[in-house]
Order: sequence, then C-alpha cells, then structure tokens
Amino acid sequence: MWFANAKYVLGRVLHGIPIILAIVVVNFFLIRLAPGDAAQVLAGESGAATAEYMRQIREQFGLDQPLWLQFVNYMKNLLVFDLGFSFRHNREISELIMDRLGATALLMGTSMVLSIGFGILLGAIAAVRDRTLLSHVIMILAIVTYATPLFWVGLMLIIVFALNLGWFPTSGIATIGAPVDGFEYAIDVAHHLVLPAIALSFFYMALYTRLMRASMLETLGQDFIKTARAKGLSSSNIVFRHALRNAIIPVLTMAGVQVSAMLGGSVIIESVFGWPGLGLLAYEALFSRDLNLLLGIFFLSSILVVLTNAIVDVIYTLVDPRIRLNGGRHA
Amino acid sequence: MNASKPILDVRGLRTEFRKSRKTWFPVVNDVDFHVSAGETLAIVGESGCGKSMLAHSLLQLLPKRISRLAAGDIWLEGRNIAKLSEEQMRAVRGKDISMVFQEPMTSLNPLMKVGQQIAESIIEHEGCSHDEARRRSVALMDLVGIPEPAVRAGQYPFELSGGMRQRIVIAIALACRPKVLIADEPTTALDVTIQAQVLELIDRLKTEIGMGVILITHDLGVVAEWAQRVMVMYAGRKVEEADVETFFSGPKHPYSAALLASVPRPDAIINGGRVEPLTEITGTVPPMDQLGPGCSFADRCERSADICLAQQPQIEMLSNGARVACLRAGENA
Amino acid sequence: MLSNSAKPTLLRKILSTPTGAIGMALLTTVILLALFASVLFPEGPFEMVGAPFRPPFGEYLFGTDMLGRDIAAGIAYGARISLLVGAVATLVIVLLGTVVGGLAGYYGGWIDTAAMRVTEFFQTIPTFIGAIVIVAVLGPTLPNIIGAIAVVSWAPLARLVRAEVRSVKGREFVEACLSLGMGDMRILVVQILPNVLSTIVVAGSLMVATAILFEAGLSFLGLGDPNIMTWGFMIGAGRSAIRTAWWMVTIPGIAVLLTVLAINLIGDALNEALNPRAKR
Repeated sequence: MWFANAKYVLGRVLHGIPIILAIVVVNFFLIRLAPGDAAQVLAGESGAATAEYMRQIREQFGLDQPLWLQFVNYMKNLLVFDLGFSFRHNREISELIMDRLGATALLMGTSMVLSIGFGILLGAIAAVRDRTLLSHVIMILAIVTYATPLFWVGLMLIIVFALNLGWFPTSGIATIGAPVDGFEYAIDVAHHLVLPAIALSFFYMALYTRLMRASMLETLGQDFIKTARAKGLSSSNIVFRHALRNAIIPVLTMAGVQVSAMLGGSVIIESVFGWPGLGLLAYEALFSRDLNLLLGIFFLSSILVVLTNAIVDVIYTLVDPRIRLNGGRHA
Repeated sequence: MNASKPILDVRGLRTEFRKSRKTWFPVVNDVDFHVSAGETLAIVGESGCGKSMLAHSLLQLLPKRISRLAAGDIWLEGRNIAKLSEEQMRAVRGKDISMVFQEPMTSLNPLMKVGQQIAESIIEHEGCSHDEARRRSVALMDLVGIPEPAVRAGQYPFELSGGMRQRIVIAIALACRPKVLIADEPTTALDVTIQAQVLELIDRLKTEIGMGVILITHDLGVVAEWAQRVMVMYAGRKVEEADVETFFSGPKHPYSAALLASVPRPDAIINGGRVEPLTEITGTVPPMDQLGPGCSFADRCERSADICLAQQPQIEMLSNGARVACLRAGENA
Repeated sequence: MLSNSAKPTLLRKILSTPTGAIGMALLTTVILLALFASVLFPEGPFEMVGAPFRPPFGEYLFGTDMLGRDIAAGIAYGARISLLVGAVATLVIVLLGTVVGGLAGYYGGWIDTAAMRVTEFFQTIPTFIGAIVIVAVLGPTLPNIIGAIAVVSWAPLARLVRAEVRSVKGREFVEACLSLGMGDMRILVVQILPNVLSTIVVAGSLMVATAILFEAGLSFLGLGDPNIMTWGFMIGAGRSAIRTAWWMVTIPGIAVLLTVLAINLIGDALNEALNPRAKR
C-alpha cells in the first residue's frame, strides 16, 4: 500500500517534467521574440550594461551560434541550474532566487493555510446555517471579496492597520536593526507577515468559501448523510465526521489549481508590502528591465507549481482512500 | 396471522410540506397501520404515492424547514414517539427503529471504513468501548453473510460490490437490534439474484431478532413472497390494507386491482393460473398540493362516479377482512 | 448568438434575480461612464485641472492627485480601458478556447491528446507571472497586454468546451447527423456549438471579470501603456502618496471592485438562467 502510494506520487511528479521542459522552450524563444537585438533586450534598455556584460550575455546565450546549438547550450545550463548572471544584482540568478525563495514560501504557505482554513470554516458554516442571516452575510462578503483586486486590499490594509492604527508595520519582513535570529526575530517576522498574508489570502478565502458552501450543501443532501441521521448520530457528529471530509475534496482540488495563480498574487502583494521574496525580485527585475532574471523567476515558479501540485496530490491521497488504493482520481 | 400486540402502532398520521410561507399541504394523510414483532408489512404504491414520505416521517427524517408532523400518534411499545423532541428522537433512530435505504451505492460514507460505519451506531447508542464496538461490528458483518468480515471491516465502500454494500447497510440498521426495521425499496438498485438474497436475509434476521419489518416496495412479486400484510397507498392515503392471501385473491380497491393488473405475474396462485393481458394504469399520481375534495384516484378510476369526486372515502372493513377506502368497493365489480 | 426571441426573456430572467439586477445596474453605470467620458471630461484624464491633493467630495467629486489631475476624469477614462480589455481579451479567449476545445472534444484521438497537453502546460505556468513576462518582453502596449491576458487564460475554457462537446457528441441527434452524411464542420458548428453555447456564455462572462482584474494588476505594477489612463495605473501612482492622500488609491480600487462585482453577479445570474440545474 505504501509502495503504491509512493509510486503514484512519483508518477505525478514525473508527469510535470514535460511541462517544465515546455517552459524552458518557451523561455528560450520568448527572448528571441522580443523586438531588437536579444543581447540588448537581455541587458536591459537603460544603457547601463557594460561591454563586459554584453559579452557575457552573448556567451551565455551563444547568440552568434546557430539556433539549435544555442538551444542545446541553454538546456545544458539549465540542467545544472545555471540560470545566468544578473548584472543589476551582480550575482548568479540561481543564488538570488534561492535567497528569496524562503520569504515567498513563508508568505504563500501562511496564506494558503489561512485561505483554505477560513474558506472551509466559513463555507461550512454558511451551508450548515443555510438560509439564515449569518449565511447571507458570509456569502455577500465572499462575493464582494471575490471581486476585490489583491493589491487594493493590501493598500487598504496598510492605510487602516499600519498608517492609521499603527498596529502593524507597512513593509518589509523584519525591523531593521532588530536581532536577526532567535525567538524575538520570529515574532518580529510574524508581526510583519500579518498584513501581507491576510491581503494575499483574502481573494482565495472568498473563492474557497463559495466552493465549500456549494460542496457542503451537495454533500449534506447525499444519501449517506441520511444513513448517518437514521443511525441517530448528532448533527455535529454528522457534520464533522461525515460531511466535512467529503465536502473538502473539491476545495483541495481547487487549492491545487490555484497555487499558480497565488504565485502571481504574491508578486503583487510582495511589491505592495516590500516583502523580500520572489515576487519583489520580479518587480525589481521589471523595473530594472532585467529580463534574464525575470525569466529565471518564471522558470523557477513553474517548477514550484509542479512540485506543489505533487504535494497537493499527496494530501489528496491522505484524504481520499479511493485514490490511495486505486492509484487514480475518481469522480 | 396477526400475531401478538403490535410493536408499532400508527394512528391518523399526517405529514405536511410547506407550499408557501403560511400554507402547507399533506403528503401523508390520515394513515393508520400497525406492525407486530416477527411480521412483515409491505407498503406498496406507485412512486409519488407517499410511501417513502411515510417511512421518513416515522423517524422524523424529513427536513424540518419544509415539513412537519401535523397530526397523529406513533406508538412504539406504548410510547408516543411522534411527540419526541429532535434530541429524544435521536435515541430512537438506529436503536428502536432502523432504516435501510434504496441506494446501496450511495448510502455509505465513501471515506469511512465500513466496519467503523457500523461501530459508530453501536457507540452512539450503547456507549461501549471502541474495541467492543469493533468486535460487535465484525460479528454483525458475519451475521449478514459477509465473508471474511474482519478483513472487510477495514475496507472502504468502493471496494465492495453493491450486494455487499447493501448487507453493510443492513448490518448498520441491525447494529442495536431494533424493534422495527423500515426497508425503503431495499433491493430496487440490485441485481435480481442479489435481491432475493438480501430479502431472504432480512426475513431470517426478522425472526432471529424478533423485530417488525416495514417493507416499502413497488414490486408486488416481492410482496407476495416476503410480506404477511399489505398496505396500498395512493396520494398520501391508505386505500387498502389486507392479509397477503386476501389481497392477492382479489384486491378490493380499484387502484390495487389496477396495480396488480399492471404487474407480470409468474405466480399461479394469484389468479388460478389464468394469464391475463397486462394493463397499464393510465395517467399519473396527481401532485399532492393539488388534490380535490373527493377521492384522489377518481380521475384515473374506471369505476368512478359523481360521488367519488365530491366525497372523501373512509376506510371500511369488508366481509373478507380487507380494509378499503372506496365508496364503490361494497358494490360488485 | 442568441435568437431574437430568446433575448428579452434572458434579460428579464437576469433582471428578475436580485443579484442580476444589481449587477446590471452597476455595469450599465460603468458603461455609460465610459461612453460619455469625453463629454463629461472633455479635457481628458491627464489634464491638470486644479491644485494637487484636493480631498474628495469637495470642489472635485473624487479629489485630485499629486499633479492636480481630476480623479473623476481618470475613473471615467479608466472605465473605457477596463471594459475594452475585458471585452476584447474575453473575445480572444472564447475564440481560442472554443476552437481548441471544440476540435479536441469532437475529434478525440491525437488531436485531443495534443490539445490537452498544451492546455495542461498553460494551466501549470503561473498565469500572472507569465503575463508579466510576455508584456515585459514584448513591450507595454494595449494589444500586447490584451494578448498576454488571453494567452495565459484560454486553457481552462478550452477544457470546459472540450468536456461539453464530448458529452453532446455522444447524444443521439449527433449520430443521426453523422448517419445522414453531414460534414464534421457542419455538425460541430450547426449542431454541437449551439448546445455548448450556454456554458461558453457563462464561463466567458466570468472571464471578463478576471481579465479586468488582470489588467488592473499589470498596470498597477507599471506594465500598462504609459499613454493610457487606467484604474490600475492610478492606484499604482497613488501608492507613493498613500500617507497623505488615501483617496488616490481608494477610489480607483472601488471602481475596479464594483465593475468586477457587477460582472460576477451577472455571470452568476446568467448561470442560473441558462443552467438551471447548476443552481445554488
């Protein structure tokens, strides 16, 4: 059983490889689609590129070689995770990205837990208390939140909770000059994390709330719930032991699909809150026209999505025995 | 045939559904019946006749927001369970009265091991330990004829066949040795061979446990084979009630007669071996929120007269022992 | 698209639900604002009309920004871009999604396999980052922005159309057409598509909202066309003055919110009207 499980997960990961390859191909040709000399595009248009950097770019992309050879070289570099050099930051791109990965993972992880957790909770409440004032209030809030741009939520949170009330810092991941490790540091980071995490989770929380409510209503109408009632179980027992777990499955599926969208959202939230993750790096790259760095981030975030999807699949197998035992998804 | 004192005695039961904010309409109307220990009462009728509503009413399983028990008493061994609160009713469900539903494929929680689904009921009603409950659920699975019950108990519903799942549903229903078992079309979704096995199982356990069985079905063949008494429902009302022998030797209500005529009968006893052409009952059950003052079967009835449209027929006992609600039942057909 | 006789009843159905009516009212307001932007604000959105940092609900309805530009004018002209991007991007998405999904669903086989691989790719890449990369490489012009949004968003629709086409294709009337010797294209366009239309309309209406949010996000990050006033750009520009002039970011954000909300509400109402089974 354990073996079947591992095999299934491995299969899902391997499934992602052609997709990653496709992203490499797209990255490769995207640069060449850009108007003008590829080296110029890669170096940025601000003219700050030195001849040395231009030479380095030509060498890295082998721009004077035939296209197929350029591609082969590009692939070779990617295999050893050599994404090139960022002139702006004066560092290897892979290093830069690795440095920023942790902050993004922290933000995304917190937001996912928040949005899925509260989405499931609110959606379940709205379904169990269907057609009550409480459920109407939850659903109206969800519909409005679902229409709200992420960056605007972030700015509104800054105006209210950082600038007016002064409860939270406006930006950054830690107070400058504060201790850099230990418990105090963790508290400091957590304090900085509150607003960006809430801002990023808002939209997804609304999405999961709506989905969870629909799923829960459907589950509560199913035959096995009637069986559970006919057994004489209490309604809380029915909701928690029988309905909830079944109703969560579509939400988990959606959460897996939304990982890639959430990464996009984190670019926006990180640039709003100056949260030093991949998103802020992308924003900086955008401003300095550091396209090579931008493409590196795109490449890496795609890998992140593939990996996260594999993790979601593992969680899936824990929740649904039909997948664990049959090695495939069932309706 | 009627054995001892009834276990379940239902008097004047009326269940209503909400039509609008203030108005309600009956889906079960003025129904009386009783079941004794060791007896099977079949409730028959077309779909929409109210038989399933009746079954759900007994356990108060209908959604409270849109339905209500408007009148009547449900005496379970001298206790009127129609008057119980939801909390008190929970102690009755699955303990004194159990129910087996139509769809074995969907009646079990897909994400819970079947043994646990049985044990849950035992723990709820008898407060025993988990180990004890687990042991008893395996014993119950053995009782309902599941091979290797200890292994099967650790499996999920999707790993079992439809017949096996229905046996699990029956094991859940029997977990606390109920006094009354309501089987709502328990075999409709199953293969013919499995059908017979499941009904035989219910019949055997009925004797072993000494419970009364209410068998809801539209299959008169099943009724002839497994029930002792029959109750025919139409548009929420009881229209005929009789011993099986009496019923099949000549149903007195025109609706019962029509039901019987529309069923292919392999059974020779029914009509002295004479094969009659199959007939269909024309029309459909009228919507329950649009019933007139008279007999609700009148507009589909071959024998209806003017009086039938004006007056609601009452249940009357005929000379052969059948109880029939038809103004013209006394006349010769 | 929809037959003439169906149109008024569909509109009435949408208006009969409270959500649909609110959505229609909001959207009509935004459309009118966009249409009459140049009448209401003939000087255009970039014109400095007064003192900078005037608070709202005074001399200027929505106040002025740091350069003394009328924020109300920006809202009106921004409405044009939001609606334009939403409509055109959705049109492209629907076209791409219907063609790919339709062919994949109808023909199956290797066409289907290939199409599904491609959609899987587009569903895996982080869509917003993808759009950023495309616009950053190709340059921030309106057609590039619309194209980028469409390219990263069409895949889910293609999957939806494929699934619908497959289920319709299995029905008897399609087999009847085949036995009559009707051509594939004719069956696909004349027989199958009309049956899939309601799904496309509902999904498409929600796409409009997503596209508007996408555009706002891009221009917020500074990837908008610099010659065009958009809501996202206004919010992005207002960030630097967030401590003093809250209205500069708040008001355009509310504009985005209400527009997207209106479209979502209409989408929900459309869904209820066209797919009654999916109700709830």
